[in-house]
Amino acid sequence: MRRIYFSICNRRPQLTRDRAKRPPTPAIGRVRALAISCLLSYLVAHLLVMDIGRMVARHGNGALSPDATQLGYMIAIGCLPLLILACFGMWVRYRGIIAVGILGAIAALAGTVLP
Amino acid sequence: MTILISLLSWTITLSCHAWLQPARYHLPPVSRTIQVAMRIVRVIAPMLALGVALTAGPVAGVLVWCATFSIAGMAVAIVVERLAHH
Amino acid sequence: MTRETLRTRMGWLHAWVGFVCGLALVCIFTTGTLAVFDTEITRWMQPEIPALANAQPTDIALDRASRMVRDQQARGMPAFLVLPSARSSVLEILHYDGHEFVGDILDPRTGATIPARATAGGKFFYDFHYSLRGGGVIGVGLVNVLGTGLLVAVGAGIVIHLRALLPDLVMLRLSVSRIRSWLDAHLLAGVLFLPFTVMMGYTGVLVHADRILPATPLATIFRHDAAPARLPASPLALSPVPPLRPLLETARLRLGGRDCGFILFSPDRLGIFASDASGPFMTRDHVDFGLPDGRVLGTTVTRGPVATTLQLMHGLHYARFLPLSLRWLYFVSGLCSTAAIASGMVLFLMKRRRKSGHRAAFRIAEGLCIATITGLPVGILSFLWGNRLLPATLTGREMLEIDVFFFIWAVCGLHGIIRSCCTTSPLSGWREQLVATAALGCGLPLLDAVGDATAWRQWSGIHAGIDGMGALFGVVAACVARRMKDRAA
Repeated sequence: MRRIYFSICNRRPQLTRDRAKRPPTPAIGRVRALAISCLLSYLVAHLLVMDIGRMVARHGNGALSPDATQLGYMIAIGCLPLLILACFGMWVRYRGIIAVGILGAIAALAGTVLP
Repeated sequence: MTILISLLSWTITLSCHAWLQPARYHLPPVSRTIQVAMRIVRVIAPMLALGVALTAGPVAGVLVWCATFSIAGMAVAIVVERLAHH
Repeated sequence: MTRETLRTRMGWLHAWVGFVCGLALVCIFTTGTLAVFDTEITRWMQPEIPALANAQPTDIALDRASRMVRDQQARGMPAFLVLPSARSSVLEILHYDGHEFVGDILDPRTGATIPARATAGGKFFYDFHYSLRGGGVIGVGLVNVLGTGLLVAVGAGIVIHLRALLPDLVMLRLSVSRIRSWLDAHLLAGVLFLPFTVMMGYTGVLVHADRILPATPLATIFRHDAAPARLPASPLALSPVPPLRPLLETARLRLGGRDCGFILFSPDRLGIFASDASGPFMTRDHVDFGLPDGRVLGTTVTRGPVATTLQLMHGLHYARFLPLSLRWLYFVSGLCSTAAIASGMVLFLMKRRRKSGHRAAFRIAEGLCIATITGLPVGILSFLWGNRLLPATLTGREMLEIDVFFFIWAVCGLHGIIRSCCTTSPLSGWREQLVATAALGCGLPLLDAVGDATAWRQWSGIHAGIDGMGALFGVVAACVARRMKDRAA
């Protein structure tokens, strides 16, 4: 602790360098994060619609296809805002994006496995 | 009639809800006994409202129950604000 | 710089998504709220239609109607027949004009055409609500994106306010600072009408979910394969239609006693569909009859848990099964949800006025806000005024009514932006448009009474309701304008 304190105190003021390395304003970062969140969540929701449609049609008698797609819509439309919120809100160490990305990867894999 | 009873029940419930937090809503405090009674009413009245609303059918009943909650809440908020103001 | 927490991020998301989407969502919610009474507004806008309480269509009327449908179909118009219901006592022969269903109105007793004025009617609000008059692909898609934006903003709002959600359920402080009062009003309306807002947002997006989330791989959307060669349509002879009365009786029995809503005519068959008002599940169940003998071809009844759930979602959003009392609850809930969004937008501007009030972007945002929150009611009231002031026999008057609406609204938008950008007192734009709303709203009952007293007597409930709401909005707008003037002074 003491070492950390002294290392901070001994640091020289570096105004010029700090200004040059100023991080992007939070608004720009947030807009970027929002765009990424929307795009990723949309892709995951789209994969959900297709996977659920396939899954139910597969386990049903084949005649369930329109129903299956509708079920997919019901789940995906409900999930889409939650995915965006999770992606955007859980920004520390990109937890939200990673979680939604993993979900998307599972959905994409399921899409390749399912007929 | 269903709507009126549901509305009344929600009005009572939300009034009790406000009165159970007198400091927050700037209302005169009430005695311990009344507080207990209010807590009971706050639990029972919404159930009564739901029971009455469901007589109009399950879907219409739930719609009535939710809509009357919202409208009663607005009414209670305005009255409580007036009371607190005076 | 403030530390990034979940709450600060959600606060930013709620504010910006809420404001940007809110500009259009206020219009969507307002017109959706009015569309709850679309049939009644159409009746108000056609005072020539006589009151025919519970008039059942006679055999003569039905036969005349079916002949008229066939005539229109022979001319290449895909017409269908709408049967009388509790809300509309006339027979209607309608076709889709690219925006809404329009057509002839028939007397259910004689089948004679009622010479009512052509009007855009309440259907205009319905069309505007779900497509912003932008057509089936772009308009509906945009509304769906905005609906998703609403759900995101609501979700972010819940996260911000989660701790005080229940304790502050009925909190309203009007005697504290202005910004705090607006915040309380926004939270009050937002939290209390949260179930309604979420339900309408979710079911609304679900109705046309395929417009934003196609069930086919995204790559196929951008692939433009050559369109399959169209076979030349073989001109099928239109079979004559047998008497409709026995078919309606049979259809009613086969649909489990549900009322029949409308009849679709194909060249060699006809389908009688269950009414949307027959229950909370909005189905397209129907009975098909062969032509010309009228034999039953089959009954289509959609069942199954998913289909039933979806029908319920549609039924909840369209609210066609609701009795009048519940319709009013929907109307009030819609108004309060609109107020929640509008108050949020006002709050957004108030919070930023001190810091960014001088910026052009802020001024334009405020101008757009004025156009949306106060300009839209002026446009809607002008639409109703236009219905009474335009000559009843004018050709193409339904489009003129719509033009009046858009023209006045555009003028309001321009006025709002000019007032916001070019004057030192930005509140003047709000105040002047509120005064216009007050004048048009309070004048509506007078205009209606002067126009046609017979209609007032026949449809007293509808006229009292619409004129009363107009006057009420006028009075509220006058009170708000007066309060703003007092504060400014």
